[in-house]
Amino acid sequence: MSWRLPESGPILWHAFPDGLVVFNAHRKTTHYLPDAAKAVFGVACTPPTGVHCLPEFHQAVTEALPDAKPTKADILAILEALERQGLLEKA
Amino acid sequence: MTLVDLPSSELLSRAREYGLVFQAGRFNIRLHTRIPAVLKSLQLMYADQNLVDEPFADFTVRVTRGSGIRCCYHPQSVFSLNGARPFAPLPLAHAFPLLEWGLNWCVSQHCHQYLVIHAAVVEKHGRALILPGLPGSGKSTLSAALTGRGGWRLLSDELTLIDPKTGCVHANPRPISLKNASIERIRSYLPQAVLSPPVHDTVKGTVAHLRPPRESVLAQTNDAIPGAIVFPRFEKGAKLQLSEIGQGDTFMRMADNAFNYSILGAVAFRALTTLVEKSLCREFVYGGDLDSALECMESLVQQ
Repeated sequence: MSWRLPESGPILWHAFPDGLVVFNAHRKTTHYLPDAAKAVFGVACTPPTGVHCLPEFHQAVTEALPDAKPTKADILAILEALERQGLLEKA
Repeated sequence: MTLVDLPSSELLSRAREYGLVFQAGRFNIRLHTRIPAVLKSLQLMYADQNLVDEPFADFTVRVTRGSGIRCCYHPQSVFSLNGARPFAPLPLAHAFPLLEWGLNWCVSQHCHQYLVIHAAVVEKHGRALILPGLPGSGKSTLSAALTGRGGWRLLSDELTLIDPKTGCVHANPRPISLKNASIERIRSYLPQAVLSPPVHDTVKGTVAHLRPPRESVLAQTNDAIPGAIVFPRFEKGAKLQLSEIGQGDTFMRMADNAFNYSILGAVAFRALTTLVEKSLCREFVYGGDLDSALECMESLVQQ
């Protein structure tokens, strides 16, 4: 399984110290991503942006959140939530 | 010539015939009405605003008496913009508050050259203090105190207008809407304040309007640079508390308070991220001690 930014419309984001705000220009919705969700989306958008497989995601997110130690299941749940919100899509 | 300079008979004549055109912040309003109480309150509240001789007005509005048999025993007032009636008729005694709410509606629903946020905004030392909040949060009371005694300039007590191109706040100083207990609170705190006659039993309770300071009206074409975003919350008897809040959290709360965020889309997203990045973000709880509240707000623009 792998995910990428959606091709349906641009996604804008801005990192604040306490969280990432993400704007889906296609749906015109805004999302606030704290903590693990911020790290997961951040990894998805880090160049080269595009396809990442779950083990790569897990490793990168774990490095971004050394204290939280999210499991693969945690990250999968976040990826699926981001997909539902139209911020990522399955490649 | 300002509204206060116009004789009452001429005021009534203009409002009945061609429309009374006056400046209200960045906008020219053409008002048609035959209701004397509306014109009396208008002249009191907009005393320092200029009359306009230009044929163009941003908004052509009417406040008229309701028609039909019901109006014989329950006189009503109706607000309309270019013939459209966005609100249900209200009792005739509510005609002036209806005009004020109607003008707010005109700006919030039509002025998409701005990001329009439901927030009071005042300025001091060149820095704007934005006070977003739901009705009852105390933003109008606080802005009345800040502008009446604290030496701040009123930009608006209801609608913060952000120019997405420059990031500046545009002024739109109109009467401050006070409700219920805050009417007497401000009357005693600011004995020299000019208030409109209280109107009872509105959807918001008892409402009275406070005339904006003359200095704020004279400076209404001056923009302000955002300095702080403070979410006020009035809690009777509460201890004064000013606490820092996260910028991401502030962004989301500001987006929730914006009238046209979804309409402007990416433009609003960028304008809001820039605004929040440049501003101190705070939450403010106060319990009615306005002197201490003023000191607290002063500390924000001195940082």
